Amino acid sequence: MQLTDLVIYKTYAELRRDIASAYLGMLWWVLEPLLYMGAFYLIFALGIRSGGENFVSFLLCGLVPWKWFASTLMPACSSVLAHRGLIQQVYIPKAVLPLIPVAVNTVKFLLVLVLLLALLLALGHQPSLAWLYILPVALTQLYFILGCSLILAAVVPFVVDVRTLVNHGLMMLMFASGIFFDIQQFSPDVREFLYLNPMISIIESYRNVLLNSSQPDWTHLANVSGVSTVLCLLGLFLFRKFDRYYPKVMS
Amino acid sequence: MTENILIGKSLSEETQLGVDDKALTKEQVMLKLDSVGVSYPDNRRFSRDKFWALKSVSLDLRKGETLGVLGRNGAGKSTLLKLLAGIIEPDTGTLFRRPGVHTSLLALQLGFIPDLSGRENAIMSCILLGMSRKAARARLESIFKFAEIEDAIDKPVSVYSAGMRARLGFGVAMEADPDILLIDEVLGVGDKDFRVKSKDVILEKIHSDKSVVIVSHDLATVEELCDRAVYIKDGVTVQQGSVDEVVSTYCRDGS
Repeated sequence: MQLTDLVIYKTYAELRRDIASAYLGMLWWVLEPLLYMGAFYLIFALGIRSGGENFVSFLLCGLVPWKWFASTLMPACSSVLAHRGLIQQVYIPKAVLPLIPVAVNTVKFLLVLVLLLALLLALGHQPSLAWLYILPVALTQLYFILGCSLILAAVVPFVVDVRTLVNHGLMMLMFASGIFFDIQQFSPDVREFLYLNPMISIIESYRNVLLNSSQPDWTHLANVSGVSTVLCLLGLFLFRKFDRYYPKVMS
Repeated sequence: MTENILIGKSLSEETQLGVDDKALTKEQVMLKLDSVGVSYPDNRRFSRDKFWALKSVSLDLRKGETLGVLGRNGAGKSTLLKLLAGIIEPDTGTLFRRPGVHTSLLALQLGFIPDLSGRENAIMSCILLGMSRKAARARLESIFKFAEIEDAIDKPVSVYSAGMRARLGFGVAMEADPDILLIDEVLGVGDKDFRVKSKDVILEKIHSDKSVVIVSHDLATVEELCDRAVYIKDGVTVQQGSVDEVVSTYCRDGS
């Protein structure tokens, strides 16, 4: 089977379905993140925190990568289950199934990233060459998302309850990922602990690059890549082991 | 059996053609099951029980022949098809598949998404059946012509009639052209005219050098189309042999 063709065409098909199934179609790819960011802006910037000048851009740089992460993980969790009918009819290597939501949401993220850069410019940030560092940062995040997606998709068919845990876990993690606060304000001990969450390092890297025009913290990115490698290998191992067992579990 | 036969594994290496299979003329065996068992996990919580859908099934499929599988409801026919299609693996016994042989289940409307157009769904289905995007695109024209939906190819499948959808699904499935075709019951789809047309295409495949497995509980189908037959009961092969023999055992057993 042509696996790359399968992932590419399936991704295209999902995106096409997204467009076809809503009245406003593709506009939602921009509108939805805008509404999402707008809601948090209202709550945090105007309400609770009524933060300073730069709080808006600070918030946006956290929310955009977070949204990419969170909106990939839920469909990735269900990716094998969602194809239960298909895998009873034809053999597909199951490991390709979580790649589809990853690819779909990466495409959407790229669009929102452009939007974010435009918003930053509109807010008066000067573009700089350092913005190019966004590339390694985003690639590291993609790798992390891939690792999480593989392992979750591999486990969920056996223990469907994991999906509920992930749903709520994401909500909790959202508030522990430094989207709404700067972790530098904590004591070193607490910081050390918070850095165990890869999303903290990732979001901080985006801010370093986009808001301070400086380099990302390479050690942190390397750590995240290490974690992602472990997750990917573990996920692929499970898929390899249970590839032809999944149809039995889900029949 | 020789020592390189592994229990509970699918064998696909050339070397694993058993030495004692020489009598069957080696190059002609496409698939061979030897006392194969397949179990399903019990879905109840914390249960380690298993349900054995197939207990001991043996059969072989040779190049160019059409093998009929007879069995009543619950005999394990659909599990057997999934096993032959490579969707699941045996838990016990051995399964030999000739290297490089492409097997697929005749599945209609594979992976169809209603919001997408006939063209997009056809490409998707073709890819799922093992084609590249390029190969899929190259075959679209003949698929649509066969399915008689040339005017509707760019409309979403959700506005198709049931008959149009069935024809498109069938057209795609016929384009896939595996070496071993597995067919579950239905030989005709769509309205009367198309049913004749679709049956003709399947007959063409049956009479070609393709190997075909037809699973059915309809005796007439098996008697009409198959070269040999296997009778399976409660996950165990009762008899394998000529159609006449197997059918008579099946009938005797039924009452």
